[in-house]
Amino acid sequence: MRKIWLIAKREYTYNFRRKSYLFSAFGVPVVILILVGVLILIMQQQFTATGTLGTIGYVDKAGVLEPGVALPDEYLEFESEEEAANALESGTIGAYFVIPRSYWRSGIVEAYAYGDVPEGIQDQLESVLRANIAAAINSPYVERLQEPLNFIFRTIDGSRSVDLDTAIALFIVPYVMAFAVLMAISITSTFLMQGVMEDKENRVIELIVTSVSPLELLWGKMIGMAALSLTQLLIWLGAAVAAVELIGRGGHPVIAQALRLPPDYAITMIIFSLLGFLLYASLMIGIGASIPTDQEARQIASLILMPFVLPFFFMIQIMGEPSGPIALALTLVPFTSPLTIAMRWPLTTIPLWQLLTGMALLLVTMAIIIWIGARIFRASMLMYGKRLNLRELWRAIRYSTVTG
Amino acid sequence: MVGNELAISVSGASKNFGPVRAVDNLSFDVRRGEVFAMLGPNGAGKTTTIRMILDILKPDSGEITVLGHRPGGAILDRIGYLPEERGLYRNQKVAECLTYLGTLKGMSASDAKKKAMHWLERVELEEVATKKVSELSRGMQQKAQLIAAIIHSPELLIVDEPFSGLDPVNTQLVKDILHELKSQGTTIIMSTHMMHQVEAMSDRLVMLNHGRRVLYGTVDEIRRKYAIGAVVVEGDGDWSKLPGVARVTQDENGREFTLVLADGTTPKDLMKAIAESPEHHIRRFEEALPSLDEIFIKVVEGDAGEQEEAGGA
Repeated sequence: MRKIWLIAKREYTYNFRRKSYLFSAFGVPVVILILVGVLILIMQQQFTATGTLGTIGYVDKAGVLEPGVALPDEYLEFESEEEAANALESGTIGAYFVIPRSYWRSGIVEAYAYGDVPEGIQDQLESVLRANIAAAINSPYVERLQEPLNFIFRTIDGSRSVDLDTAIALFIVPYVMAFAVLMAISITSTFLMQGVMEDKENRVIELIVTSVSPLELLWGKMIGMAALSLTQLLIWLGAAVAAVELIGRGGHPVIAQALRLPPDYAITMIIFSLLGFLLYASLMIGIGASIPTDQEARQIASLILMPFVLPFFFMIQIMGEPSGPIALALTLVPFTSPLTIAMRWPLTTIPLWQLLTGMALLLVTMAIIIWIGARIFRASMLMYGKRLNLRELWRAIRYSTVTG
Repeated sequence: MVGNELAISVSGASKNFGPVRAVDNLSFDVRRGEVFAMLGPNGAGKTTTIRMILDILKPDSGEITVLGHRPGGAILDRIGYLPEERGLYRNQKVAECLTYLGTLKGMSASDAKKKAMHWLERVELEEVATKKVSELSRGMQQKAQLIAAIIHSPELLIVDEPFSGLDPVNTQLVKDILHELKSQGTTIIMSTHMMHQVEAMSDRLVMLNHGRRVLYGTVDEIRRKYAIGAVVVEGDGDWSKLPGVARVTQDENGREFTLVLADGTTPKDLMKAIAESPEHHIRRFEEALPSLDEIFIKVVEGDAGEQEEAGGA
């Protein structure tokens, strides 16, 4: 037991220092956080400050704008176009627009500026005009004229609902979670495969197996790498929580609410990605032990990753019908269950029996694969530069030619 | 266990790899505290035998006892191993790597670190302790590898081709360390195909060919057994004229002559004849004992060895 711990510790600290791990564990979340931050800043610019124009002048010849109705602070009225033009030239205003007398019929508003007029100003002006026209009509339904549609998506059991603004957010959460789970499953497993190959290449394996049993070595490596994989997932989830917090404080509490990570969802995904990791990792150990060339091993490794990635190909079906037959099937199949559950959870309520059956099938498959992976590992760990052919692989799986 | 004077007992061990019989009904014992040589050409089954002793491989048949127990498990911590296929963690610092390997043998981290530094100093590698293993020269790596085998002060040390790749200075250094360990009571098994290297160092030996035992016993016993009935002399005179000399060959250096004795003639008889002969003057006279290399070649060519005899030990 002590030796398993020693090996796990070494694997963890050694691989933690790898550049590719540091990038995937810390680099990716940091980049995403920065992107979210920048995005929020840009959105704030567009929605509140109307760009860098500063004060906006206007000349209202049609008499549309009532003082005090929805008019933002940075709007300044001028009596004539000449005055406004002078102010623009002297730089006291960044742009001005003229509402001609013909506005009521034509809807035309003329804008004057030296540079570009940000799109945000158009939107803003449109809503200002609309509010003023509504005030002029004076009807209780006038509000609907301004906002005729407010779509709300509800889950069938009514436990969750979202409006149109946050609907996009609803699809981001499962996507990002599925991606995080996939990375947690695959990145450190690849390290594990490389580690097994390195040990063989370095010939250090012969020394190690005279100090610990092959199973101790196998479990030490698995546990160390599982911890490393978990570390990465937790960092990512932590970064996601931070990003949501950032969005909430950046003036979008509704979107932040839609993006928030329910703890039961997070815990379920941690469990499933750990199980998925153990399944994929034991396959990687078998490959690392039996295939001598790095390139070939990588190819086979990415081939084996395909069933794990499969839910991404069925994303439209899973998300479109999160309780449908495809979603159900992929929840139960051991290789696809982690990502499928990641995608379904926020969109529907997954019945407990499906979660438990998926988990049980994953566990059973994992146990079988670990058993096979351990046999291949033991049989081939001292065969340097040699590939096990299918017959030898079968032999290794059927009989244990070396010690346990 | 304490009363057991055998470090290793191999009896009737066989191991097949597919159609190849790597080790064939092999038996030998290693006594505690001795230096035991396992000799034979490449592919004779030495490494396979070692791997069975170390529980890396299981014998298909036969019994192996190591330090009074079945191979493997807790006794692995009491064994040190220098594999023929040398290898350490290349991307790790030398002292770190050795410390880790020490802890895998059951040492505490602080103890392992202390011992690693002690041995690095002993083999004059202290200044590369913080360098990566991959930055060391071949000879340096060899010495670091030896430390990995002895860091935990094993009762039983198994070294496979211990001198390969070492220059004469480092070969002597390794020999000194092995002598030192022996004097502290460590049992040492040396496996090599360079038989002359171990002739002087070993107490007893087993010689393998094609997985079978062809010679087994003390070095002296074996050399005496294969004495060819000849003496080596240096001196003057026509050696072929002496009574009882069947044949004379001049050695490569031109000074020594090997006199093959006729049947029934002993070296003592010849000595007497030389002493009585006024024409012969002698500076050196010794019984011609064959080197292990010569014995091996003879055994392999005749493929005789012990197989014809009934149980050599």
